[in-house]
Amino acid sequence: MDRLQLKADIREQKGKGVARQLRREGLVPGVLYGLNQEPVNLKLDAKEASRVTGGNAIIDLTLSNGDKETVMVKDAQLEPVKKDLLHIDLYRINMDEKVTIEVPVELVGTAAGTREGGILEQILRQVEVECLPTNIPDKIEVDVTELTVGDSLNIGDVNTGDITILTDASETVATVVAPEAAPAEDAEEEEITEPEVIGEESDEEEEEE
Amino acid sequence: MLIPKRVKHRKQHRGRMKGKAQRGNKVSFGDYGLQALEPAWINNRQIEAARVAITRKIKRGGKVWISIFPDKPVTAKPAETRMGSGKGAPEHWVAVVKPGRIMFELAGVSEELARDAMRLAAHKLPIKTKFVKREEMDGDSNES
Repeated sequence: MDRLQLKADIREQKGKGVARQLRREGLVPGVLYGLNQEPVNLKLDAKEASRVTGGNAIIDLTLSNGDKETVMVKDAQLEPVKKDLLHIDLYRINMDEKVTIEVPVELVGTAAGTREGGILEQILRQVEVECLPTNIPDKIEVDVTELTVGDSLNIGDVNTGDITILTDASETVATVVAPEAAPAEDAEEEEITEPEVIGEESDEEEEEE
Repeated sequence: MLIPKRVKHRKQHRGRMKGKAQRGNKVSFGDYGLQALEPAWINNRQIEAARVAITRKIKRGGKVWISIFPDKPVTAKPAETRMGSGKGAPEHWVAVVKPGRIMFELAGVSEELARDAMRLAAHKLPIKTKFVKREEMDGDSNES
C-alpha cells in the first residue's frame, strides 16, 4: 500500500461561512480525530487533499505546528455534480493495531455463463475487512470463471488469505442471471389511469350508506 | 406508463427545486448512469420514451434500472376556462429531478454501447445530462 505525504494547517474558525470562504480560496476544510485524542480542525490544499481520497492509502500528515501523524481518510464529502472535494475526515491510526476498512471487490475472468448468454451481475462492490495497516489490500479479487447461468458466489467462498472479512459470509458477490426476455412492446399491460386515493374510498362508502 | 398505485392526496403544491440532489447522486446498481445537470419535472411519458430508447439500443443482454419515479401529480385547467373556481384536474405525473440525480443505470454492456444508449435516452429528456461511470471509490473522477 502506498504511503502518501500531506500537509495541513490548523484551523481555528468553524462554521459554514468560514468553510465556504476556504473553498473559494482553493482550500478545503477537514478534521483529524481518532486514538482517543482531541479532534483538530484543519484546512488543506484542495488539490493535494483530493489526490489522497481514492483508496485506502496511509498518509503521513504534517501539521502547521510541526506535529506529525499517521492517518487514513475516513470520509470525503463530494459535490454531487462536479465531484469537487468539500470536506475531508482524517483518522489517526496506530501501525501496530488492526483497522477496519472497506476494500473494493474486483471480478476476475469471464464467467462461463456469459458465453451462454447470461449476464454477470456484481452485487457486492466493497467488503469490510480487518487487518493491520501494513497489510491493507488494494482490492479483493474474486474469480468468476466457473459461474454458469443461475449460479452465484458468496463472499464466504472467497479465499482471502490472512485478511479477516467482517462482511456477512452469506452475502452474494456476483451472480450470472439469464437475460430478461424482451417484453412485447405492443402488449398493453393493465394500465392504471388514476391511482387510488387513501382514505377517500371509505368516505364514499359512508356517503352511500 | 409509470404512475403510483395509491396516493394520499389527489393534488399537490408545485414546490421548488432548489439545490442539488443530495441523494441518488451515485451509480448504485449498474456500471453506467445518466446524470441530470439541470432541475426539471420529468413526466412519465418522457421516462418511458427514454427507457424504450435504451432497451431497443442494447437489445438483449444488459440490465436497465430506472432510479426516478413520477410520484407528483400535475394539474391543469381545461382550455378557454375563466380563472378561479379552484385548482384544475390532475393531468399527468412527474418526477422531481435536481442536478446530480442519476436517472437511469445500465449494466452488462460495453461502455461504447452504454454511451450510445444513454445518448438516445438523453434526447427524450427535457434537460442537459451527463454520462457517468460508477465511482470505484469516493474521490475518483467520473467525468465523461
